[in-house]
Amino acid sequence: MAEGLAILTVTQLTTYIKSQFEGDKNLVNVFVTGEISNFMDNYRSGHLYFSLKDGRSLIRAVMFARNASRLRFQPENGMKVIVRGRVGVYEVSGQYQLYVADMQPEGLGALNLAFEQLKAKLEKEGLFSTERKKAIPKFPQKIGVITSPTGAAVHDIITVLGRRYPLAEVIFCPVQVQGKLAAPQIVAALDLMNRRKCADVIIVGRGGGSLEDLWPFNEEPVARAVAASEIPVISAVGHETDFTICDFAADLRAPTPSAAAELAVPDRAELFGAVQSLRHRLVEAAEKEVTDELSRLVPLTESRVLKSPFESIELRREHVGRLVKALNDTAAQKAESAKVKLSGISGRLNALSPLAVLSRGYAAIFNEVGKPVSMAHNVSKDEKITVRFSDGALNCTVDGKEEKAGYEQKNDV
Amino acid sequence: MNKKMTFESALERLNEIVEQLESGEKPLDESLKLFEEGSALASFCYKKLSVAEQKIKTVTEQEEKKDGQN
Repeated sequence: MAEGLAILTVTQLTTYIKSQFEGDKNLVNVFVTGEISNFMDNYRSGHLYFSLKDGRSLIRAVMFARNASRLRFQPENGMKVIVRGRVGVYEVSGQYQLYVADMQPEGLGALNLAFEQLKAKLEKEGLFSTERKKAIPKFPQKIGVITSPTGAAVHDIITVLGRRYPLAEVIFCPVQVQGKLAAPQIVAALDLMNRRKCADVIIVGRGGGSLEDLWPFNEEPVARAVAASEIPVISAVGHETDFTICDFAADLRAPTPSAAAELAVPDRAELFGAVQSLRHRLVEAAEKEVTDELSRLVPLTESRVLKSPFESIELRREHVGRLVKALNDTAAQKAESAKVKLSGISGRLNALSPLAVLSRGYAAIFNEVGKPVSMAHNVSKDEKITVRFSDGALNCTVDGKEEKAGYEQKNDV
Repeated sequence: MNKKMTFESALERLNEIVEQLESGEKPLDESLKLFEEGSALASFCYKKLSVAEQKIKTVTEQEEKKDGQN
């Protein structure tokens, strides 16, 4: 600047001041921490205008669209940030200000902040609400897999699916899972599968990586496509500790791709067991039914033939038949022994019969009215009597009688 | 048996049949029919589960080509 008292124009002075700022090595690349205030987002130009302040001071700042577009998070008033930039002068208003090249939220990383912001936004929209979640089918026949064709995830998923439930077909849609193309490809894959309705459940994900690597799964379009999918989606991004927006938007979150495959299908070994137990119960129930029925039917009518499709019926039938036969045999034996006993009794009875006495040469006397007469005393002269032998009878008239004196009528039968 | 039957529907029906048989409310000839159907379903389920080969198909926006198993 010239010596003495030269008179300067405003522009000359401002240009001088500007050059002072721009020539100062301490000001061409500075890191400044402060709180954002007076934030203004120019939608048309994409430039950001704001102030940075601390307890005592304030500096105006501008971030041009070229730089602002790289921001993953949304700056807002009150947010503590660290910015990198240079200090310059805006001649038009005579203001010195920070020309911000890059901005990071203080404390949280930019990605973390972006994550929290998007999560809060979608949560508010209800995109993550439990009512929106679709049930994962128990026995899917087709399983959509959206992941990288080269990563470990696809291998893990296919291996687990093949081991647990090979009866389901895998519908694989290869996509990039990191970098700029990843998000649009994932969205397109979800869309494709839904349009073709080619899966009953979709696993979308990738293996572990840095927050930056996993970033596509934190992008809004992916989250929206996952939430909008008609086919239930299982999200499996990174490791157990990695949470992504995609996880929240999905119908089910799996801690890893392998775990997603396990959640997507039932286990064949368990199903084998289930079918086996059902078959066992089936046979038991049918056998019980048949034996119950047989035990009712067989004694009633032997003629009823039951055509049974399983041999155990025949076996049981034979068994019942044997029982019935044994019963019959026992009954016959009893009858036989009764008969023997009866004939013994009748023999003894026979010996006592009056007919037997007659057969030995004795005769029995009956009076006119058929009453047996055992004493002469009870018969009168001229009375008609019948003399009965074992082989016939004589009708007689009493001519006369001799009575033993003193024999009293006692035992008149 | 329906050729297009899925494992799921077969298992469901098998379950139903077993429960019906266990209730013991059906007449014998009906029970036997159920038993036959159940046996067939169990065999069907076993057969389905015994599938050794996993089918994998790759789909892309451009074309839909069939891959072999992995």
